[in-house]
Amino acid sequence: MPEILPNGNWNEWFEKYGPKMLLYARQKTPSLADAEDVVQEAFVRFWKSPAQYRPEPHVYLFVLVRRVAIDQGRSRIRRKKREERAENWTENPPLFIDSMEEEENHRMIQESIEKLPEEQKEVLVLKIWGELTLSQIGRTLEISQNTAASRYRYALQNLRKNLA
Amino acid sequence: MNNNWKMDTDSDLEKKLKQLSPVNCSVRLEERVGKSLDREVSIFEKGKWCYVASVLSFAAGAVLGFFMVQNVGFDEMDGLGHEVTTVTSSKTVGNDFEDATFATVLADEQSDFIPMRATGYLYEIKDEGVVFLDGVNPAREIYLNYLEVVEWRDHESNMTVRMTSPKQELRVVPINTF
Repeated sequence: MPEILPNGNWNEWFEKYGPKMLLYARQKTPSLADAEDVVQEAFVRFWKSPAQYRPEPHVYLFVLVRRVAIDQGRSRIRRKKREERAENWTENPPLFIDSMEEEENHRMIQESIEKLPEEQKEVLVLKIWGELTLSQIGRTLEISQNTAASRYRYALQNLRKNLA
Repeated sequence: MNNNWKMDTDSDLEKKLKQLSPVNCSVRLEERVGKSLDREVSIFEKGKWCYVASVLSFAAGAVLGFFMVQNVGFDEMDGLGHEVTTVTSSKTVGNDFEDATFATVLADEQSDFIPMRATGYLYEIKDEGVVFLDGVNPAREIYLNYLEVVEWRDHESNMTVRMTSPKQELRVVPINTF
């Protein structure tokens, strides 16, 4: 039986990492509802996992988000649900907390990020908001550190181009 | 686009991006996570108690069996030429007990049947594959097929009654997929 509820209060962990997980999950799913499903499952798996699986807990959280998102994408049933949800999805909810004066800027940033290629987008999110190092991103995405670095560099260049 | 979002270098852009805070998770999502974690804990607790209950029942059975053997004694069991009656379902099979139900025989005040042995034989484990608890959490369905044998003996008539009954147990074991 796996170790359950090992350290601290899950609410504190969720409050700290939940928004970051959700932001990353939203890069890998077509809707907010799907991203929430992914975050829920990833967090529950994380919390009940044995301690030895998570020497770097914040990295492992993103690893789980990625795996669950991939599993979700493969599931035919979930895909069907997602398509149904997507049909009803009329607006893409914001990724970032807005202040009134920054709302327009945030919307533009969000649109620019969404235009990035998938692999650049996820490296950018993990680096900036996930606060992972390039080495940790490499382990999370199962790519080399150099590849992570070049994807990140291209992501920033493309983003600047999109925002210009 | 405001002027303060014009960036000359990548590091300017990085700084600006880091100022953005991801939106918080909805209260609904937090509640869902809380419920899922509660369910995980309850499954764990339930499993733990089932295990404890199994161990206790086994221990109680062993103690009971020990006392019965002590009362009867192995010497008494040898060379008695007792008749063995095998019972399947609720019917007895045997000349002396013909047409009598097992329950009737044992309930008869005149008879003096004493429980002698209770054994469970696990003869088959069937893995029925993965199911999803509440449509989300993967778990494995495992069927365990037992044959339970319970034996009574009446010392006065030297008769033994043995009841064999099939028993099936379904275990749902949560699995980790990472």
